[in-house]
Amino acid sequence: MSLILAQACLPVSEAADSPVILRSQGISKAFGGQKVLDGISLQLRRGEVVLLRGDNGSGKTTLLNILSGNIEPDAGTINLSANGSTEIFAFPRPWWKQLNPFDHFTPERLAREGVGRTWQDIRLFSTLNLRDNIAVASPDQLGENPLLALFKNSAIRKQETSNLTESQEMLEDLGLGTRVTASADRVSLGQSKRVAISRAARAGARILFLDEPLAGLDGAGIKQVLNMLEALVRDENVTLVIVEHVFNIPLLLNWATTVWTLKRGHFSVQLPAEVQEEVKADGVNNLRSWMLELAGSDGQIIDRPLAGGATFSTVIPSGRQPGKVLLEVSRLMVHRGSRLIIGDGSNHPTEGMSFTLREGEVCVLQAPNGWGKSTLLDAIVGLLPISNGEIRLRGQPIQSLSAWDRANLGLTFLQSRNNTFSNLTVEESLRLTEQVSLPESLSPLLTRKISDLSGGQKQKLAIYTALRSDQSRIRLLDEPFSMLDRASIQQLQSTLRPGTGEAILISIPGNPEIQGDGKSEYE
Amino acid sequence: MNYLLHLLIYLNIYVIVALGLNIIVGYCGRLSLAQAGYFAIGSYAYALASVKLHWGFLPAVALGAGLAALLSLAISLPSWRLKGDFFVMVSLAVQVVILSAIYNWYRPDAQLGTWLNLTNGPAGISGIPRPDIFGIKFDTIGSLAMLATVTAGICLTLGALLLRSPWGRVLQAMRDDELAARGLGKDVRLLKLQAFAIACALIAVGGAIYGAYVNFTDPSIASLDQSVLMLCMVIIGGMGNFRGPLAGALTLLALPELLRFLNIPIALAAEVRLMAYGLLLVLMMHFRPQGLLGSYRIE
Amino acid sequence: MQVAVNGLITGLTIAVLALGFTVTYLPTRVFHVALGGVFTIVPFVAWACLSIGCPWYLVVAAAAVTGVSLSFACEAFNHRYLERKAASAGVHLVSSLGLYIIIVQIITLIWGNQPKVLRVGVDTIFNVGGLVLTRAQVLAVVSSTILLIAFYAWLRLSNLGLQFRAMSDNPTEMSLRGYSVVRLRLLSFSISGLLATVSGLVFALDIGFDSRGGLTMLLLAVVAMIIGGRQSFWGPLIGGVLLGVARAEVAWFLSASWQEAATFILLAIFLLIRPNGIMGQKYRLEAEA
Repeated sequence: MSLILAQACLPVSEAADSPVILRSQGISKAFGGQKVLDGISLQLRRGEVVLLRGDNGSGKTTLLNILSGNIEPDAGTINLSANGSTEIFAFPRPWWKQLNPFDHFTPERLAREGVGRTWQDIRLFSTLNLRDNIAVASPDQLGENPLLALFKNSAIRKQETSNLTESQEMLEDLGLGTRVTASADRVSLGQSKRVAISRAARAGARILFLDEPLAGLDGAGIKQVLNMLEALVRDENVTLVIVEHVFNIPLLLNWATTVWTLKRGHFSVQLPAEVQEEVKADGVNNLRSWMLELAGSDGQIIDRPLAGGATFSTVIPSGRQPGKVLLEVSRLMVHRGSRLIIGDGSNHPTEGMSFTLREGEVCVLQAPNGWGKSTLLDAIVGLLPISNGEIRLRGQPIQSLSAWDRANLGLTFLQSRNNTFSNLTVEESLRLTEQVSLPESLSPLLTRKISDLSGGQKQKLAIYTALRSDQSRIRLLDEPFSMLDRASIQQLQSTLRPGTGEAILISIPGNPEIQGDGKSEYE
Repeated sequence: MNYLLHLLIYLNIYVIVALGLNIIVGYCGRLSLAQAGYFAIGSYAYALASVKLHWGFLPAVALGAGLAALLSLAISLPSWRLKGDFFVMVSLAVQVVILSAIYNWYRPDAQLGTWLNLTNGPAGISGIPRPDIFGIKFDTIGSLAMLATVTAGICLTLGALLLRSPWGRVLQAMRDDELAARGLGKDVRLLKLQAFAIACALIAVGGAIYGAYVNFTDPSIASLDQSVLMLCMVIIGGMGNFRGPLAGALTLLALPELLRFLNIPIALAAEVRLMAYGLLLVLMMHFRPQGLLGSYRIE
Repeated sequence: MQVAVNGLITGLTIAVLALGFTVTYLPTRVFHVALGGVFTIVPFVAWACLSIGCPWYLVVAAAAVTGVSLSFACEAFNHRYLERKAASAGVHLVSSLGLYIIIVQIITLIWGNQPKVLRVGVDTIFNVGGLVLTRAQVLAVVSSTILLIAFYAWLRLSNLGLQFRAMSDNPTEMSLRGYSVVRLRLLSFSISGLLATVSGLVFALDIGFDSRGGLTMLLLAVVAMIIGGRQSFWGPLIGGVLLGVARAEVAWFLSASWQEAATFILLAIFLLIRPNGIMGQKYRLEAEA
């Protein structure tokens, strides 16, 4: 499937002459001793459409949070002139500046200077209807002053009526006119994302930061969101910074004017054309080649496409016969709140998800961000309740067992984040799973506190724990390769072989559907 | 008949307090234990204004409401940084300080109303005159009931106007997702100051009516037990809309009557009533966390 | 000096209660208001045992059994079920408040409203190096110190203590590694009960007790936890001692009725300047990211 998008209204050379509306210098941020951003300097010109790309954990969300006022950086300066006047913020802020309640570095301050954002988890106001979600965003409402609101003079009434009318029109432009009184959480994911964008636009955003706006959407949803963003740039002259995971990038490269890349705290600016070349050249299909190597000369790879742009691939290494069924998932449906995450809701009745894991197999679930990989794994492992279906471990139904009972039956899970104990030392953490030693590369770290380790070291420790072999285990690993450099990934891949009576399932972020040719870019 | 009017007056007091507390708990999303303090501020301000300054009903109530609104800063400022458990503790600290101030601000030898003796300490202030509006005296229980009902009606109307206005809408947005509301440029700090001020003023109005009816006020109305009762009322009745507080006020009123009906001895009545509240709180959190008629679940 | 030592000893008592509160709060995030009820009820149980002539060790044992099982019951019959429904922190708080109310009313119904004392007459006095200490104070120091040392040693050195620390850090990861979070939660509530029992008995022995002061005492414990740092198990110890000394000095130099104001002001200062407490990390409370 290919999507053809119009060029941005300003060709790149003209954009180079438009004014700089946001500039940052030397932005650094560390969390708990680990440096996430290291001296980032960038500038944004009016009319640009910027793609901010980076892997999970590269710091792009942190940068977004800083530029939208949600977090203060440890050092650096930010110059903002999107709304006419220039504001300069220098960090760290001196204590006497903190005392002035009108001069804080906060999201609302930046919003009044023209910075808007959308959120990965959308964040519509759940007890307001859709029209009010948009209407509330309108700036400078007289009725927001309680004293004025009480006296309901005609100016307020007039303003409110026109506010509601305009908001209603914006809803109708989204095709949601008749849904005006539907509560915000009964709307589809794509519709909520578009309402959220309208809401940010209504608040008067001149720079709009979008946090993974395409996550979790199917082809039609992506098209609608992109059309909407295009219209914003073309008609309202809004400057966009789109934060996206590496895999949705190709869609946007035809349209963007600039690409910002964050790799482990370091920042680079490129033209889209360069990135397109890079993406093509990087078709070195590490994931696929690893799977082929695992399969060997005699083995098999069975690919099964799933709804939502995901693929479930089963690798049966050579020399192994498909063994007995270790993990069987049937008709699984999982909800988060009222939203169905796992299960195919496009059919009636809704179909649950089913798959099996046999002895000796390595299965790879490749799906884009927002598809629900973690939700699926959390449900299998016992961290989330399921709405329907069955899960059997070696034939025994486990869907009503607690997470620790499932773990003791041999089900092991590596979480994608928060998978270590920051306040313990490495040695203490290993004691918990009755491991006594570490591989050579990590043994000097035995007495160190886990919070002092780098992201990569923490991940390696977590992986080492997940791969322990005290009993036959079915190992589920959620995005195990994040935070690791290429050498460590290759090292890990060489050890990922199931033992006797074991199987492995890993989840990988990716969107083979968008790539169009079943292969994925993988770093 | 008189007894029913007596109940009606109390119902109106509870409704006004529930309306105010609903703003704090149901619209700002904060659990509080300071409300009895503001109730007492309203009551004492009314008492002092009418006894010492011979002010009429309206100015005296306005004084109480205004003072409470000003002192609401003690809990609205902490709400900028704190929510949930820690906000509760700060509100408890505020309640303790207010109670302590009311209890201790006196000298046995000094005159009431002077700077040395603002509250008469444990003895309280008695002899509060009946309400007087531009010369009209409300000294029968019937007229008092009417006054209370009209006041409650005005408060409800004002509350409805506010909560259905753009201010009410942005308050709801802040409650639903404060960070998203800030991202749209909404000044949530100012909103909290406004909301708490209005809520505390309303609670103080309830306190003033109480003082006017009972003719007497003392530190016991600022006790933690009172705060807890008021919080129970709002949680059990439900928050986030208008029916909830009304249901809560009715429940607070009905429960002692129900106990009397069940022939619980007077000596035990207070404890049994409180225990019933405790039990209701525990049960409701399991089976109906949004309260009887509310639309907002505690976070 | 005497004032500071008095404050230190009161501070130790507050610290023990604060630790009791933290021992539940850190691993489970439940705001165990009902612990104030445990603090309130144990002296009454002790008093009842004393009035039927039990020897002191039986009195202490009865009080401890009451305290531990009451706190245990709060989790076993209440919070555990709320947790299964993934109830929010506020729901746990309101629920715990309800339990507290029930406990206090039961105490009042059985034993009435009047303040009581655990000893008869004036307490024995000891002269220690120029300082005057009552027997109650000596008992407070001895029992608090033993209990605190035992607790911290258990936490650091035993396997169960390690599991406890791990769960306080990352309960999800604990359950994924095969440890029953249910059992560890019950353990944390039980330990809280024990700590609150000792604190309650010592406090009652020193000053007396009644059915009403529990929540205010819990407030002191929470303030101590916030000041000391609510992200570690050492925070409540430091905060409790600091608060005790501060209150004693204020009561001496100004007056006893200023103690509450002093507590509040100290709390406000810390929340403004160092919200994570003395032991906590230095970063400001950020807007949620």
